[in-house]
Amino acid sequence: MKTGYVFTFLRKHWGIIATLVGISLFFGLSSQYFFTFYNLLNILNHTTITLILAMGMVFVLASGGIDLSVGSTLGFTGVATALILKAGTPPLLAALCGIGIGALIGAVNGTIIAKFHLQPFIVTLGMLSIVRGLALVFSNGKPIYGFPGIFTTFFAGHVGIPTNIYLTIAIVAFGSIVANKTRFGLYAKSIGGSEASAHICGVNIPLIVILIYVQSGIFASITSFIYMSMMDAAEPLAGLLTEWLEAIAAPIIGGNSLSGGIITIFGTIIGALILATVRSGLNIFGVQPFYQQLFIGLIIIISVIADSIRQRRSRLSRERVVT
Amino acid sequence: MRKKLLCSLIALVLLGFAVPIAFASSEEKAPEKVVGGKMSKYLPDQIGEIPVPSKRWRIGCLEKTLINDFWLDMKNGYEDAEKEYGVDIDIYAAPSEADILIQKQILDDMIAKNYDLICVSPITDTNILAALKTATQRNIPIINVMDAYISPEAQKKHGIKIASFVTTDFAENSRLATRFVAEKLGKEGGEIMHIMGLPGGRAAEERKRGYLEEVAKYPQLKNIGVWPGDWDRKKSMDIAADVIQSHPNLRAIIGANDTTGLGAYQAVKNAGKTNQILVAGIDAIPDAIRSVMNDELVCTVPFMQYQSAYIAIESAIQILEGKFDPANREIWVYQEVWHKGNIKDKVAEYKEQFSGLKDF
Repeated sequence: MKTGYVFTFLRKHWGIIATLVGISLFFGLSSQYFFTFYNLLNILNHTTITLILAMGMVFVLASGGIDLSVGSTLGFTGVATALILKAGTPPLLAALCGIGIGALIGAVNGTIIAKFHLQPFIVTLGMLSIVRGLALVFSNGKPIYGFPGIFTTFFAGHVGIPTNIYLTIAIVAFGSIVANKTRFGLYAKSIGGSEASAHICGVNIPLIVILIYVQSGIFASITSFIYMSMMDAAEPLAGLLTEWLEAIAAPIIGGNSLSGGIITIFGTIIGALILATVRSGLNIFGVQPFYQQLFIGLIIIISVIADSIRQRRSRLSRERVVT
Repeated sequence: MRKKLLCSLIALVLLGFAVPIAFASSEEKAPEKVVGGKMSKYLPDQIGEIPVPSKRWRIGCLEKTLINDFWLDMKNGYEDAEKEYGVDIDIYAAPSEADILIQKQILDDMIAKNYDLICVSPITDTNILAALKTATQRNIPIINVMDAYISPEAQKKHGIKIASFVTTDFAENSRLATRFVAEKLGKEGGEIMHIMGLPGGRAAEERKRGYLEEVAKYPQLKNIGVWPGDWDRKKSMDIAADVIQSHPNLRAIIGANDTTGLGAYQAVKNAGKTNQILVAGIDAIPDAIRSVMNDELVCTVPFMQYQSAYIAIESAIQILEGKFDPANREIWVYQEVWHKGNIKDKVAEYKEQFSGLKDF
């Protein structure tokens, strides 16, 4: 029975596992600097920001939506939390305020999407711009420096390994439980799978959609704490592009679908690791940044093609069952 | 079907990586004859002799980005110094100036490569502090080249040791421009003004300081004020137009950069006062050089980014060979004024170094 489970698991994920192993072997064999403890830790460290944002994103994607505003939310909650910290608020309270702001932004996104039946792409694109604007307004376009040591140590300190790695592991475990063991996870998938059937089954769709974007905002604000602790500064331009693009790319590479109905946390972890490994490997290889952009783009496109083929096949097999 | 597909996808990805290998291996050079053991090319008086490298030192250089002339000029500087002194240099850069986190991650990866020394041009004052701390813990000497500055306080707070800081003195930029204009006006002097950049920024504030300090040295000059032009051509033009109206005897305008200066010059031209009012710029952008050649702007002060990179490598060799004089913790790159009298020669002299001069 147990081997059967492992077998199914491997059969489901062998493609991305092989990709990650292949990429790692390739870089490991081509550079002596790749398989070092320092560098492997580096890759994990670089994965954290993408992965936490992606944890919020998988539920959004599962519901058939997309959240383009997480990068801006990251930037703004960072600035807001920094200002609150600077005003002398205790770190814990400031962090809670930051999470509240992230949740609020998500709630606005979700409410507009659910109540007006609008495309998540358009709504969150608008929010991307609004929230970035707020970040610039509140910070006057300048970074805000210097936070209490306890705050930066908690989110990006070093206890054996970087603390943000522990934090990410905890968050991913939490996300995995929510995705697989709770009604919320199930409802998110069912909305993406078929909104009509979800409705017939009595799912309170607007509420779940709002909650989905709220949790995305919360994860973005937690990411912002790590981001600002890493730099000891809240940058209004944090999360401008690469961060949120990768937060969408990682789940897709990992096998989550843009059209919803699926959550694979394991795939998302591997997806994020693939992105970080490629980036780090190319840097160690000494490949110019322009080529790096090219490769990352290539990987994303290949995954999206794989996703579309997967969907067609599953649709075909469904139709076969019906007939 | 699925297996085939995934196999081919992986093959494609791996094939993708074969391309950079081809690039990387073609770039590997045979060791060249080591020169060195001579005086610094650009700052002989200040940093003195550069020893012959005892080995091919590996130096990693991290720039902000490579998408504008300024950073390409620096890249040229690094690469020319690499050839001149026989060291190995790898150049890294973030995709854009907004990629503050990516720049930090690139530095993390550079540290994994155990360079003998690292040169960095941080995008902001803080974005790579965490990575620099790791570099310091691993005893990799760091040179901070240009712009964002890791202050001694930040170094102390974050446990970072910066061996040397190579930069251009912004205040000296405007001191030189102001001095040139002051001498041009001679004993007669008159009213002078400064259009500064965006207030709050280091370059803008320092250039304002340089202007004020220099003007104070000439009793015949009367500073009528400093206005913020926010580096914007139109805004600078509007300010200049207003001030020309309210101060009919204005004799000179010092722009915080060329864009500002060119905007101001437009206003002077519109008022028909090109014979009365001198306008100076800073940075030597191609537009400004053309303008100086046409006898419009009276002078401009180039930024010397190529030289900064070159000098950083000279300094790196001194550090690696243990011949570094701690007095050179801060290295200010020399500066000069380009005006109608010398600009043709200067353009010819620096053509190979500055991408912007290629079209002249």
